[in-house]
Amino acid sequence: MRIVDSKTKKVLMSKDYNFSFDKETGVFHRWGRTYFEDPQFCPYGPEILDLEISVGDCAGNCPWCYKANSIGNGYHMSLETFKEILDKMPATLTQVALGLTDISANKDLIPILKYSREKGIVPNFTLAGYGLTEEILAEVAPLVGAIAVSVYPHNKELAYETARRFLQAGVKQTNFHLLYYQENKKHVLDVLNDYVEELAPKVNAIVLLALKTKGRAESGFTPMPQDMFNDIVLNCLEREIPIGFDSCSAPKFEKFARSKGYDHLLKFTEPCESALMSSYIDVHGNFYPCSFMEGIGEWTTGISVLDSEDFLTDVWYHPRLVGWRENLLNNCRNCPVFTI
Amino acid sequence: MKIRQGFVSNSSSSSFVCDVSGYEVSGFDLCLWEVGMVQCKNGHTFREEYIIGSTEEAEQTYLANLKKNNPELSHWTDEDLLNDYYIPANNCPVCQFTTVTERDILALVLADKDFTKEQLAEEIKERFGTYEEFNKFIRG
Repeated sequence: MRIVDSKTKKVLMSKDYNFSFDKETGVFHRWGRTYFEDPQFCPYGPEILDLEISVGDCAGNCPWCYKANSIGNGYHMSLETFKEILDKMPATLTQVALGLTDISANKDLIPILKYSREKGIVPNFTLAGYGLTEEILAEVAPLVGAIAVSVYPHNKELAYETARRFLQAGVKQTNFHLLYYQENKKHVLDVLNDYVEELAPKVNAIVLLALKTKGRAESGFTPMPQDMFNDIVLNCLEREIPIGFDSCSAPKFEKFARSKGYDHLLKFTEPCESALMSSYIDVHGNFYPCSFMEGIGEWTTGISVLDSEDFLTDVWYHPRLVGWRENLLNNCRNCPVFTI
Repeated sequence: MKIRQGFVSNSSSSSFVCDVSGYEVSGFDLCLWEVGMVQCKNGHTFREEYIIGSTEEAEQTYLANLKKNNPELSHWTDEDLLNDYYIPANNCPVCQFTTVTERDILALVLADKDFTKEQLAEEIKERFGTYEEFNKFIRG
């Protein structure tokens, strides 16, 4: 296996698993022995890290928050811990998605972004827009690859304004994150209409995220049925609204694509890649297959990355993760826990 | 191959972005050598391991042909000449039809029928009506 890591690209070459990542655009290609093969697992370590750097201190206080974050009760990852974790990650890592509550919830955010860049890892994060000052915006904008702004009914105008500010600050890949479930179809369509009618800014993409019934979303919220999902996706494609999805939505999107004649989009879909290509580490430095697995079943506790001596041996090939991987692959990479 | 069109902004699970305007892998800005690929004189791109014969043999054939056809290059070193190197057709699996590409298959079908691509698309539309019907026919 050989990795070429330059200022603008990271390329991994091996017999059965290859990728190329453009650090300036985020464009990523993965293939196997030939361009026509899709490897199901990266044996050399994760490509992506989802890293939680704060909990609590979240002004959004959303009724569906799977993390049950709320105002106050804050805890954040220190710069030192962040460095320790990033230093332990294998050279396969291309980018990190930081799990942040309010933008001011981690006082080390800027040094964290800077350190990530120093290591050649592109940092990205999501916010709702609360507490975004001009000073923070000016510091953050040149450091991130992408920003996502969560759009909920109770922060819609703030979200639009926040996205406008990031776009004006030069972050071309400013996205909207739009949670979808049966009860909020109207909100989803409202945001899509706002995009078309230019009431919302022309963001890079509207990323649709599937509801998982966890935390505060455990009761009163229903995953969106397939036909309702199909209507929304068709609505986007017919009106040329740029869309994206979380990998949890991939099986639903694949059903849509195969039944509606959009098979050519399948190469852009990636079903669950938890612990196959991606990784999640919580605010205390514990590894889980993804953020939704935290505290569930055999994942009531994670695998300590901070205590590991060698990430590949102690974490990536930990027996619990090997078992998880086997189960996920046997389940055709469908979520083994949540109904999506 | 799987393609992601932008950075992963989702802190909960990784996301992908569809490009509704369509995306060509040929727009992929990457040096061929970086991914162990080579190109033949007719523009076919493939992994080095699929060269017919050895890489060395292909290089020698290329150099011999180049020098024979361009005597003015005789003072150039082999290393300099190889900077602009492409695989000769004799060593290319596509030129030798060891592998037939979908593009060549389409070109043959169009030439046999004396059709343009647009005319073929029109015929498909008339015969099948919907993509589902087309898929049913193709998959038998």
